[in-house]
Amino acid sequence: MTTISLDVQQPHRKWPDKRPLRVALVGNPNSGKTTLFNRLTGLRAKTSNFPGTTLERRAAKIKAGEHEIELIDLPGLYSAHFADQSEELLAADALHGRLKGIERPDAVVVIVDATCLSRHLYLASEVREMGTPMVVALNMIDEARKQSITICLETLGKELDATIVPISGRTGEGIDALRDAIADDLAGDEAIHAKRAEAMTERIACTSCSSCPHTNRHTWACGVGEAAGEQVSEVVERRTEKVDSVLTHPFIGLAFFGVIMYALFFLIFRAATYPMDMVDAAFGSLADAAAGVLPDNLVGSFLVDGVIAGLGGVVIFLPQILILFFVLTLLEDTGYLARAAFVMDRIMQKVGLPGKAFIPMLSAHACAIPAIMSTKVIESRRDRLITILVIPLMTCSARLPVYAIVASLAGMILYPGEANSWERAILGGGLFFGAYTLGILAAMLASFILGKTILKGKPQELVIELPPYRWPSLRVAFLTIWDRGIVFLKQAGTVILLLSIIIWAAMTFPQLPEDKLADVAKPESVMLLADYEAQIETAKASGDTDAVEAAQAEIDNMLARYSTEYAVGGRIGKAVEPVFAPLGFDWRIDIGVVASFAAREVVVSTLAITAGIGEEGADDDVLLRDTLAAMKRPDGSPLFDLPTLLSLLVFFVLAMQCLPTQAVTKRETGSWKWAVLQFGYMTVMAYAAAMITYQVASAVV
Amino acid sequence: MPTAANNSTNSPKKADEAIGPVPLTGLPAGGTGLVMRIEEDDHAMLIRLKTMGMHEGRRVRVIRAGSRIIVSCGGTRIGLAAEVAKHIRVAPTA
Repeated sequence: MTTISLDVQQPHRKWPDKRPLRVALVGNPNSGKTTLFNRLTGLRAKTSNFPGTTLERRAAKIKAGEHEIELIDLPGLYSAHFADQSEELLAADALHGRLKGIERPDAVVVIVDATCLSRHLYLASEVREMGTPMVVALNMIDEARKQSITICLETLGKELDATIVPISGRTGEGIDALRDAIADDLAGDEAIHAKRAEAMTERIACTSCSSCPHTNRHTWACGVGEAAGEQVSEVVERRTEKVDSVLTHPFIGLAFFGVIMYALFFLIFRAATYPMDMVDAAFGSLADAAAGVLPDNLVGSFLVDGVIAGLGGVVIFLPQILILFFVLTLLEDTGYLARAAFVMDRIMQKVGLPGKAFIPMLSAHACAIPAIMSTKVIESRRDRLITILVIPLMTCSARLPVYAIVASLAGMILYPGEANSWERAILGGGLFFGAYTLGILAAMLASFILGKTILKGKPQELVIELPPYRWPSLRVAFLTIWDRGIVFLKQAGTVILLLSIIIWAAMTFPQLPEDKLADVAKPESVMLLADYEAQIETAKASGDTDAVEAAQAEIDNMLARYSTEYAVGGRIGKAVEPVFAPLGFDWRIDIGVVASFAAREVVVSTLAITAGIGEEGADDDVLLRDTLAAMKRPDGSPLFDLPTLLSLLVFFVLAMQCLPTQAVTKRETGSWKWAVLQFGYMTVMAYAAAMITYQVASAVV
Repeated sequence: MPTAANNSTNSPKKADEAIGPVPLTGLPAGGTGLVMRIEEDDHAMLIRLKTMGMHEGRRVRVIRAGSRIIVSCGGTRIGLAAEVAKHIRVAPTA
């Protein structure tokens, strides 16, 4: 197909400075804009934010003719003038150059869907009236052909007064012609576009006599669409409706959605395990190698335990993020996600959230971080904020080691002896199920309350376009996850790394030198220490290297234990003991709680260290369980009795103990105040619930 | 306001007239109608509906009825909540 250009000979426009020219890409949602943008830019696209906002801006530098241009992808817009949602409003402002620090684009490429002409012409006509150079990309021309739709380019070209380029973002057809058209337009005379804008306004005003500007423009668009050969394919319509009769059915649709969500959840959970283990192993080896090379001092510890461990702690989130976004992008591309939002809306509205909020909340059960990142799709800022604030309440994979140790210890108390393994398994399952349910109920309650207090307002009522079903593009999915991965590493990753180093510092400083060990250790420990040292002497004399190593390992564990208490983190744990006493915790548990505010699973290894069996002890399930079960309070009663276990479980279900999540919350909301609120309300909730659990359980048991 | 499509919205039509405007929720699945007016106080919602193609003079066809409705409107399928749809007045056709 050939491009239709305008006949007027245009003088070459001189651009004054050497800066790259700004070209904005606009179009309705579901018009294939992202696919086209990816076609034109590939891996060169960089995602950043419009200054002062959380609106994402994807841009890339490409060449069009002899011009170097910066192609900017704006979020989908139904109208350039009338936008109600904050993101669309920002996008419209960006288009008109009203955003602080952003200039008007030098040219605009408007995407029009050849299979659904008139609605897209609405936006195209508005852009024409802006008076900037404009090129129309008539997208999905391959689909139109398949549906036997022929669009008259001349009619369109005349009515829109712009160059029309038929393209297919999917197959790549017409992309070169599009680039040429952009170059040509940029070379044209400025004044012409102002004239064209005026002519456009007149044309629309003449079409109908309604005083409502929307109706006028729609009427014009319908008229032009018809004249240009717009058709709705009966076959496609019927096929879509048939599928929809199942997928949007209140019950069957819900069940189908349940299956899809289970599959997604399972994928994130399971498939991510392999790459996550690989990341763990890789960073572990790196740390070992570095420890071997670096001096055994502060710098060495900083690099190994602070930086390398911190970096590992960032990269480990990538597999789950990438898998989630890959699947979601595919699902969205097919058009299914709109149906999912439709089907979930009724239930979600009962807790004050829109249907779209469900998918992020479900994937939070694997990890809150990708879930928070995926709340982008929720248009209303209020709804989005509430969803982000409550997401961390859902049980994520990091809490599972804590649940496991609690279940294991509880099993030993209630059903001691090997014969009762069946009962212990049922108890364990019950505790896990209870924990997951508690998280979900807490999230529903929190959304309800937040929605009536701090984030007052109604959830956005459902008005959603259900696009025709399409085959998804793997290319778009891969480019999306590449993009998301880089954004995460650059923005959230740096904060997470910084916070990990701070926690490392809190758990390391001040340091306990080995010779001071005897000064701070308890009397029994001092005796043990003397014992071990004697063992080393005898073993050395008899050449028994294994015994030397074993005794030295015991000394190292003791050193680790007292170092932890000696450091800032440990002292905080001891200092807050009275605060957590009503929950049944003692200072050893408190140190674990303090450490786990960085990352939840750390509590298990910290407990192992404070119990004196060292970090390796945490890997030995039986040893860990038995050691913890034997820990005693000052009055001789066991530390981990049933009420304490239950209150510990409840605390870990509800507490905000994940600095990486807070970093991502800050990034996605644009401000630390929401992260602080998140931390605040969850901590209060966790404390109160755990205290009630402990007091009630103590009275009952 | 009179539109090109019909000229009767200005005259006071009573509910007991033969075919008066009904809320969109009043149409059954498969039913079609012509949008007469949208009685929505929430400006943001009004804008949203109009820019998506739901405006006076538009023909709509109900694909699914219930508490969540799907209508076909100008080549686009739109899903909306009944709370929103009930503010859209249509004149049933056929």
